[in-house]
Amino acid sequence: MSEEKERVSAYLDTVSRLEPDIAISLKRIADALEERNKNTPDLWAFADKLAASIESGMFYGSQKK
Amino acid sequence: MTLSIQAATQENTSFSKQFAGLQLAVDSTSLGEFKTCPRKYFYSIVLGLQPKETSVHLTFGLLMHGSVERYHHSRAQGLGHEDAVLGAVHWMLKETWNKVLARPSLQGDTYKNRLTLLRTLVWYFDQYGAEDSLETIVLANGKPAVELSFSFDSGYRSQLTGELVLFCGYFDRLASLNGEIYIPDLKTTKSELSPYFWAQFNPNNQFGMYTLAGNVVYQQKVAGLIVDGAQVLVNSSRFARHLIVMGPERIAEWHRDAIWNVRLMEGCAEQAYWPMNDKSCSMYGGCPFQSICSRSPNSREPWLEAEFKKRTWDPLQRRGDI
Repeated sequence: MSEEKERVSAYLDTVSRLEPDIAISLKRIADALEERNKNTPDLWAFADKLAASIESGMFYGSQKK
Repeated sequence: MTLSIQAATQENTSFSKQFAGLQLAVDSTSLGEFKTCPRKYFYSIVLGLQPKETSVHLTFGLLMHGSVERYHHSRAQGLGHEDAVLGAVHWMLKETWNKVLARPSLQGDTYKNRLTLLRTLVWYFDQYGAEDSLETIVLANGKPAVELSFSFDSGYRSQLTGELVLFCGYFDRLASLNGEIYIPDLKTTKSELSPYFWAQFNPNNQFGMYTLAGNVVYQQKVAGLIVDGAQVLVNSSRFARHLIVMGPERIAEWHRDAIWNVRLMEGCAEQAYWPMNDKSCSMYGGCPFQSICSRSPNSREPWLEAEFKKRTWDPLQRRGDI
């Protein structure tokens, strides 16, 4: 598996554990960042980190109630 | 739960109201169940029973299908590839989220779970999305050929009631490739996408009905079907596309055979008896009614009530419109 595909797989693994609206918001944030800075090499790493934060409860909101 | 034929089909618009158990609107699922085993057809279509536990393979296939359908619907409405993918993925994520427990559903199976569904879907759109050479066609009424319901005169009238028998069903879209029109479909599997896998689609009951319908209802010369196979593995998903062509002679033969089976269905309704085909019990991963048929006839009803739930299969309840 290519490095890019591995990164995407890891990202999808995170997304698959998220609440739908949060997952889609995360994708939109990642897309917006990509658009603003197409050369950001750590985009997926950032997305993973953000997703992990959401999962850990930082942004869980109503999901944790 | 009542298991009388009359009560089971009373609300089902695809069944005759003049003769209990006589199906007048026949789709490929009903016909396929009958061909597999008349008794299976009786339980699943006439009585409308299905196991209380839904098969993960069926759920996975329906979710994959539903997501792709939403993608094409969005594209047909003018949305770009990325937005259409996002919409399809969002729908799928919602369908696989347990709101009460606030956690994903579709967990537990190594091969078919929320992650493998998401991955298969995203990779499928990567491969067959934005750059797909298969294009949705526009019908004579100016609408894109997506979410198409069909019903047409089968050419047969019931000998019992004189009522017309319809063939009906639904397919996702009509698309063109190199000037020819095809009906695309998607099949998911754990198996390798080998010649053995593709062989099951030719000849094939569902695709025979689709090809006939494409030619009769939409007045488009349908060359055949394009099947996208998605192999779902634990850590990967693979895809391949296969063309299935049915010429006019084969379509005519399929139609003749279908009518033959409709007459047999009618004969079963007349006798109020749908015989067992015990050569089919272990096919397709095993019949869900095998545990019922293996019991003494007198003791089956309580087991049906305990292990199955009601699900009316009515192919005339259209899912889309043209």
